[in-house]
Amino acid sequence: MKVLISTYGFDERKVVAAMSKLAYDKLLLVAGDDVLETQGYLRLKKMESLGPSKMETVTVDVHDFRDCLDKVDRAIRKWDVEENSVVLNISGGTVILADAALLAGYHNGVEIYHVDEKVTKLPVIKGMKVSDRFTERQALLIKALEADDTIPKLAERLKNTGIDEQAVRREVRMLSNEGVIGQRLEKGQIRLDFNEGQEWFKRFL
Amino acid sequence: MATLFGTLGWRPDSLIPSIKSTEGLEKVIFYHSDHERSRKARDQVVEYCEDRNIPVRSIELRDAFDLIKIAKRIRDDVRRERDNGNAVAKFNIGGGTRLMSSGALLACVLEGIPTTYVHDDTLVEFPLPLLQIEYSAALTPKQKETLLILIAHDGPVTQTELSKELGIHKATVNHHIKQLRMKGLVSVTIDPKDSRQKIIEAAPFVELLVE
Repeated sequence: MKVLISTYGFDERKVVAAMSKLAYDKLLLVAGDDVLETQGYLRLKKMESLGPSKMETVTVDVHDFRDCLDKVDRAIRKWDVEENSVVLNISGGTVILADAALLAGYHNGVEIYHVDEKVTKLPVIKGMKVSDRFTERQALLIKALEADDTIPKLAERLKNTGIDEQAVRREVRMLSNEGVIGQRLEKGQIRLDFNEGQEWFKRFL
Repeated sequence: MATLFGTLGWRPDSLIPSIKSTEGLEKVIFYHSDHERSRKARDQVVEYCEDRNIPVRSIELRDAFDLIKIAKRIRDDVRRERDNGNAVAKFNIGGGTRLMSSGALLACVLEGIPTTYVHDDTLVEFPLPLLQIEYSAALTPKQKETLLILIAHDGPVTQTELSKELGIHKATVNHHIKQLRMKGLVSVTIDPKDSRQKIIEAAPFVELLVE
């Protein structure tokens, strides 16, 4: 089944354009809860009620980037499984919702479109996910990292995986250069933490 | 030198928190549309920077409604800064038109630029979870070469032409094209003049992935 996930604001024409230009079996809207009683939304619901798959809606706080990112990400992961495929349209809704959807699409390696008067396909290699960005060792380290951590403590927790302290230091340095992990010196010891917002990547591993 | 990039809409306060929070800031480059209110916001941001002796450059994007074009423009500007030895501290994508903001986010994903957003109401700046996705690593050298040939042609190419330019057999070309098609990077149609011939075209965004 091909699932079309579309951001939606008050203008249903953008969703209708995506519905007519992108092939899909099921429509899932991501929108603020203030649109659920609008004529446009009800028209879309009615249109989709004629098909075999009913339209679903995920509501978000359209002014909160993290909420939008989290919910679009969950929606993609829910539907991008086994024989399903997901296409994402980001032309509806607020700028925040559209940007959050774009980022979630990139993280999950799904096809992304901006369908308005014209169809713009965004540069994504289908199936290439953000998790592919991490080596196996880095993935283990990210999963094991705790708040206010230290390299010896982290190495101790990872010792059963065959990663020694020296390798931990090396991987920490690399992840630090990438901006994922922050290092600070406190009482002569290096303390580790995720940089703000970067703990997000744990969910992909 | 640390350069802050940003997109600006009608509200200077979507960009100013980033100017305040960037350590060692030495230059601000931001994009805005040709809308009157956006120009007014531009003047306020420029004045804010000049009052603090921060060099600032505003770039008006007249065609702020073509996402791929905007992403390419921004990517090229970011690369130019880096080539000149200036570090890009971060990119605030909180302002600007929808396509300007998304185009900037796209450039940030492709170039691996730390990206921030400023909350509309609280004006608190927060970083986005973003890592550079190195798409070219997902392509074999031959696939890359094929895409570069298609970009250079700037239009459809027959399988026979591709075979000649790549110096490989048509069947091998077919294999590469199949892989690229699965990745969503090329489209394949049958030549209306010769049904035995396939016509291959790169997706319009491909240049952003391989160059």
